[in-house]
Amino acid sequence: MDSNSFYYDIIFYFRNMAIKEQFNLVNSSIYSAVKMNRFVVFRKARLLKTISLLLFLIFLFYFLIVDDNFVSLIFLSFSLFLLFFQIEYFFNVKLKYPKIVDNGNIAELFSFDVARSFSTNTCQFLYNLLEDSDFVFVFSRLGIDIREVRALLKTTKDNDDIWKLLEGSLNESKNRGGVKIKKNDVLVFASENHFILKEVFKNYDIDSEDVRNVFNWIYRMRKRAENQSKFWKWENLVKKGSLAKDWASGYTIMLDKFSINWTDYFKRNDFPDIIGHAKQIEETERILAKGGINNVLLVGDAGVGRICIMRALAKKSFYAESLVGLNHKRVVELDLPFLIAKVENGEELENVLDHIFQEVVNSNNTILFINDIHNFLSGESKPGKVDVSGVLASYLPFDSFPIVGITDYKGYRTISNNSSVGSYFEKVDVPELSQKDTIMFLQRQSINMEFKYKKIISYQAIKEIVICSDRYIPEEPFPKKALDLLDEAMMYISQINEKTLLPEHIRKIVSRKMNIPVGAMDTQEKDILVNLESLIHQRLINQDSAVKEISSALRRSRSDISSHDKPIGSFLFIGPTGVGKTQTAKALAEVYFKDVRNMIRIDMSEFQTLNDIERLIGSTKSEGLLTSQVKQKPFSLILLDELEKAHKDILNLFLQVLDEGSITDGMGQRVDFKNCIIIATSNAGSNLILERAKDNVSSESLKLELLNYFFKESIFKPEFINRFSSVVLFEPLSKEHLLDITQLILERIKKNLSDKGIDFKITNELKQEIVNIGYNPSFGAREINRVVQDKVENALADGLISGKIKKGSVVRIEGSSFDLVLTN
Amino acid sequence: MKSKSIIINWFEWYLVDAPFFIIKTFKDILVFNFNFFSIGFLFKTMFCYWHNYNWFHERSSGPLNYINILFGNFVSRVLGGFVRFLTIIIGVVSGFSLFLLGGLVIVAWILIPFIMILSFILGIWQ
Repeated sequence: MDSNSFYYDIIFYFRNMAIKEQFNLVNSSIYSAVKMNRFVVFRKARLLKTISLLLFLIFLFYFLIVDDNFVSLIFLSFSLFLLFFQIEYFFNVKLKYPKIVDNGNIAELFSFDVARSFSTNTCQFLYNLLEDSDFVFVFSRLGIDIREVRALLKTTKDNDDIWKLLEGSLNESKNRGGVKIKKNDVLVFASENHFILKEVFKNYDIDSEDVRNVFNWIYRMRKRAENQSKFWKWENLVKKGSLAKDWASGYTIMLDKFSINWTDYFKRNDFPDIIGHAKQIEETERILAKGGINNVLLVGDAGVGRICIMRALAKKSFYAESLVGLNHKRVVELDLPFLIAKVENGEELENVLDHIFQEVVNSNNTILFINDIHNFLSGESKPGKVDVSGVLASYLPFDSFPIVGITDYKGYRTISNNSSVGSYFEKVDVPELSQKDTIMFLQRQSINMEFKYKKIISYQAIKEIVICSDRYIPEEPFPKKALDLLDEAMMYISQINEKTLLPEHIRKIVSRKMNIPVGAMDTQEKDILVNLESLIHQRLINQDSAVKEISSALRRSRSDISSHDKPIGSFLFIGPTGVGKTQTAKALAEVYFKDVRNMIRIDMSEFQTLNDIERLIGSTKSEGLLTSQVKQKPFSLILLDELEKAHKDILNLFLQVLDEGSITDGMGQRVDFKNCIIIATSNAGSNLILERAKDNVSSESLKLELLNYFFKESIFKPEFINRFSSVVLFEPLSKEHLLDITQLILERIKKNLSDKGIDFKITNELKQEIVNIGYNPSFGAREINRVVQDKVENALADGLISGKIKKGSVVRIEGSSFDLVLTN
Repeated sequence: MKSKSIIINWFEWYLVDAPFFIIKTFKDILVFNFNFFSIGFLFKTMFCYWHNYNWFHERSSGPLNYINILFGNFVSRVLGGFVRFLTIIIGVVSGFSLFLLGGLVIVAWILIPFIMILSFILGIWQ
């Protein structure tokens, strides 16, 4: 028995004993609420209060307008209203949230819902707990029928330890920073530890983190709705804004014409919640609030949420939650494209901009920002390009002119190179949102989407969107790609008339969009994968180890077992010419990728100079041969033929491809190779292989000798070879292999003739003769091809053209003389 | 250790928790009132130029122009001061009213049980 697990079992046992012995629900503070809840007067106090109030108002109205009957009822209904009002608030504010009295008794830490549902039978406890309407929402979002789960809990005999469940729930509460055990703590713990719920959630592929996320989702929505109704809460009062803060600030009439005041906009339409980018928001605040040069460049890819940082700043400034110098300021976006469209010429533009910037300085309460600022700070004025560096540069040194520019990495290089403005900005890098933040972001967006499309979005669909877009759309950032995918998915289910968005819808869309098989395999694909080796061997003779390696790599990838940080598989095939290296790749392309044309074939002998790098990965002026094809077809078989003939520096490009599964092309875009199989072939060391073949050396020692030879002769570097998943040695073909290859070639000819209604008989004598003539270890199967072409195809072609061979003929070729023989 | 009885709980809530909640809420409302009318800010900027409207004198423009600008700037300050002062007064009056209202709410809260009983008796008696 493992001593550690035994030790923990003992600790657990005594802790459970302590919980059990000190447990006393009846003596706990929360029990009063549980007891009172049994009475209708307390349980329905709110309803009774509302009814009393309505009655009071009706009787009062009657008294005032009709006649003075029912006076007594006015007083009675009013007194009842006051009574139920008191009962409701006493129960909901005091009884349900008592102060913790005795720390040893775990029942003191129960929330009202947990105490009300409690039972020492875990199934009964969970059954009672799941009656809550919050759980109906949670389970529906997770795609589980809560009634089925409750029925299962009701009918199954309890087989779990209530004390373990309580302790686990308490730990869950502590982990989220709470003090009391709430109902979500119990469910989150039970989702992975209770013998029934564990199985239910496992069947739906749901873990405790998913349950936690959905609960957080519902609590955020509920809290927002509750807070909005309580006008006396500080955050609601502050929303009213204030008078007079801008009375000491100058007017900004010109600026107002060509800008969007985001502070005003959100005051009217409610500030959105800020998700992620906390560090970047703080950095931006710090730079804007300091003296001296206080201008910021938010640098990040489009779609990472750079403008959200400005919205967050507007919110914090409005609620006076930011730094001292930034509170109560307006965050205003200068709409330069609109301004440029309105002015007549460059001189007028400068004058207007100068006026606007002076207003900003004068107002002393404006934070300006410009989106895509790099478009206007190129430093060169020419037709089609506008440059405002000159007029902007004179204002940037003022700390009463804080400005934020939003740009991408390419734009940042342009601005840094512009000497008049580059040094006046401090850079803040804006990375994409994390997966966790993206899930929260999508949950928030889902409410609007559901309203717009009248559909329901399951939590698993949201999770699948984040997983699939992370894996299959690497060139775009979060949250943009996730949001686009969600939008597309909602349109898709509207088209197919489904009510709920599920993970399989997401996988279908991604599969269709990226041309990559995603998600569950259909029967046909499963059959192909299981029988891949035999299917390839229908087109290829010998080379069993190579076929096994590539088939295994493909199976691992489709079953989602291997990690996704490299290509599916990368193989280096070494061997003499004509032994089947390229043929193996072609056979795989035909069998799995459906067509040889779906293979990306690059002849590396065309890249023998350094200048050829541009042809391979592209440049700023043109796309690359390799990278453009991979971008179009991310799920591909890439064949790099004659690898040793490429320039050494070009081979170095592949170090990154093989190691990290990506490369930056000539246009600066990242190209993802993680869904590709890479097969490289090389004839290097053929002579050595042919020599050693005669000595009957084992494959392993020959391979080792070959690799040493590569390193010694600097054909390939060790770090290059090391990055391949596998290096496969292709040995010379024996006569038996060549006979099988001859059979394959002749079968193809037979099939072609059979399409014409001609029966071609293949004899052993013919095959033997072909092999006798064509056997040359230096040339492999290619010599056989030449012999078949020369002796067999030519004879058949002559027979067909001369009319000797007609439809219905039965033909064979004499082995010794290669003469045509017609048997009918 | 047994928990408190419901009667004690009720008195604690009625006499301590609820009044404290009312006091805290009205404190927030008073602070909001102070911020809403920007009373502190207006005191600080009492005689600042109204919306930063001010003019600059150029040396070559002559004494008449100088007097003109001086007067204009003075009016800007006085106008600003007047409006700000008025706003402060409104803010203070508003704050005082809210303070009284808060007091009334607390008194009403304390009297609720008596009002309730009185109302009930009147209802039976009528």
